[in-house]
Amino acid sequence: MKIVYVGKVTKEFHLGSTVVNALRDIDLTVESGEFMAIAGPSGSGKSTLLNIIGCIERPTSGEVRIDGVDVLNLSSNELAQVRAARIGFIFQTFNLLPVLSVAENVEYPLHLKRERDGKAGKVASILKEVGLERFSRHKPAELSGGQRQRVAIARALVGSPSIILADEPTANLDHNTGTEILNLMKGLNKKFGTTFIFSTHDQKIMALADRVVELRDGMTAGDRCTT
Amino acid sequence: MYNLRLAFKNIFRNRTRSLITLGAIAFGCISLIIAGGFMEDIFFKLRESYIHSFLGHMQVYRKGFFEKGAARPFDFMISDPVAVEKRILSVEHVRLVAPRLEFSGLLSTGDTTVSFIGQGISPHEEKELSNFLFISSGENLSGGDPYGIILGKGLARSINAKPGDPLVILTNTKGGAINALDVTVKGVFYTASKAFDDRAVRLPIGTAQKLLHTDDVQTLVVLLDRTDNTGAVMKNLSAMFKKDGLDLEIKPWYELADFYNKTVALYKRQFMVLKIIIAIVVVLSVFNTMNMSVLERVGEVGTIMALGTKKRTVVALFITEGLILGAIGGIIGLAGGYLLASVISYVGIPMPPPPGSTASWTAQVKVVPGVFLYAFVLAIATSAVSSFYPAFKASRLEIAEALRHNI
Ligand SMILES: Nc1ncnc2c1ncn2[C@@H]1O[C@H](COP(=O)(O)OP(=O)(O)OP(=O)(O)O)[C@@H](O)[C@H]1O
Ligand SMILES: [Mg+2]
Repeated sequence: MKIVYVGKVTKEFHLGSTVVNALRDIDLTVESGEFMAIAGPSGSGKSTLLNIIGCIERPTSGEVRIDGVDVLNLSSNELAQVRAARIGFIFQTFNLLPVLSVAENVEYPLHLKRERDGKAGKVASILKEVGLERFSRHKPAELSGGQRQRVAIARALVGSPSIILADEPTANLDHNTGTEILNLMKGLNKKFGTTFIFSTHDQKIMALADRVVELRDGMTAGDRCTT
Repeated sequence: MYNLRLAFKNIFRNRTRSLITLGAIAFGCISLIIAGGFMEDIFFKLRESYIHSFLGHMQVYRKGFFEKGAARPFDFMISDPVAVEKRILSVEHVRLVAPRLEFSGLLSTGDTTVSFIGQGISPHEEKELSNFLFISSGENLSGGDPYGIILGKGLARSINAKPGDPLVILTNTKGGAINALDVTVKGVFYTASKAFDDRAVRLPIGTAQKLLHTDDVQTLVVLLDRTDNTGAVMKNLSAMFKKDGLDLEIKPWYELADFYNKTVALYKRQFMVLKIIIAIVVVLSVFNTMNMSVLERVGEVGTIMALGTKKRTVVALFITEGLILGAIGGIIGLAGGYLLASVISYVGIPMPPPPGSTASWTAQVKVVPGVFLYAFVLAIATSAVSSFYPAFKASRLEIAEALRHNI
């Protein structure tokens, strides 16, 4: 089942009189349950593509369908709903809310989905999944980078989204921790069947993906499966 | 609930700044409570002073007296005043009814003669109506001595009279003839009104009636148990007069106390200026706080919007923070205001004599629920209003752009 369809997507940024073509005619299809990396040098358009798939940026032209929904015709409120219901986000800088505890951070998407019952149970079980059940009352500032990223993974996963997007999730972590995080993501992908799309510079991290899509100057320069 | 908790936690992440903002809001509330309570105390004391120094809560006249009585004081008199008094006394909340008969005449020591305004009064009833009439020497009128009179301080000084001095009163009777009466000075008084003290003579009403050759009175002054009952009693009295076919009219204290009304209007205008200044202080400080807090949290706003928080929820979150600041600041302000009002009232504020008066007095800060409510509502409303723009600004952030602020 196609979970992401990107057709002939271009994205231009206008900086004064110069136009930056961040994406040019990108075609991409992602099947449900894939564990996919987007690779490419700096400035090649990885973040831009992830933002467009994540419905937080609109393409200049083209077509984008998430879970069969044509998202380009939706209002900003409707897009917010799509993100809350179907998409999980993991950020390079973790982006936990500093005033909330670990458990409260993980609870946030459930609150957005207006779930009433069993929130505490879901939060607890997902924290166990990422190995942080003992830290639920801690504040993000009391955790290491790797632990914070685990909390972020738990937050992305707790609402059972169809797809999780991670823009350079390991770039702020040392190599070992980064590999651990990637392996955790991969394990969750296999266990729950959640689709993961992440971007990275790191060749070794890239090697953990089942499929690597290579970008160069805003264009697809390669698409290979490693399994 | 979740959002409320989040807003609460966000407020206290920058403790110093929030405390300063709370301080500004509380300060605003306290100022309003103190200034408003002080003003209400002045109004209250001024009002009670007027009512109890001679106005009463209302006055009853023959129809026409109020309009034309100044020129023709004896053309509109209440006949059979004792019966009318009894009828008025039967109404609920009426504490007493005091008859008055005013006239003008000349007062002579033999050497000097001055004009005066005479008030024939009933000493017993009038005692209750003269809480703010003070005897500076000698003694007050009593029922016992029909030919004893008391003089206002200024009048006594102008003819150099002191208690015990014999005087002669000269006046026209109701019919127009001239009549004279030998009297004795029993005492000298002063009130809150210097103009009154300069011209006034008080004597027993029976003596005045004899002097004027009449059994009637001009005014029946009605005193109630509480000022708040004025409206209700007026209504009942009018209905009763109508039913009894009595040709009488009633004037409440607030129509008689011109100076009071002007004072109230003046103070209220000044208070309005204060309210505006305080509102501006609160708006600026809350605006500054909320604006800073939006600027600091651009990255976080990007994060929660990426996760699927709607724009209007972002607005609501920041406005909730403003509201909580306003509510906490307001509560601190109410408590602080109450405390300070109590302390100030305990100590008392020495006040100079009001214009036209010789008596200085002590002001307090009245605890008025209306003023407290006003201060609290102002704190919350201004806080909410001033967080609106920063909140709106936060909701307009581009998500991808805002996310770049997370470092
Ligand atoms: N908001 C923007 N305004 C202007 N230009 C932008 C904007 N966002 C991205 N670009 C440009 O678009 C191109 C693609 O940027 P993008 O951030 O997608 O690259 P990237 O592959 O994620 O790079 P990196 O590996 O450094 O994160 C770059 O040339 C960048 O300068
Ligand atoms: Mg990038």
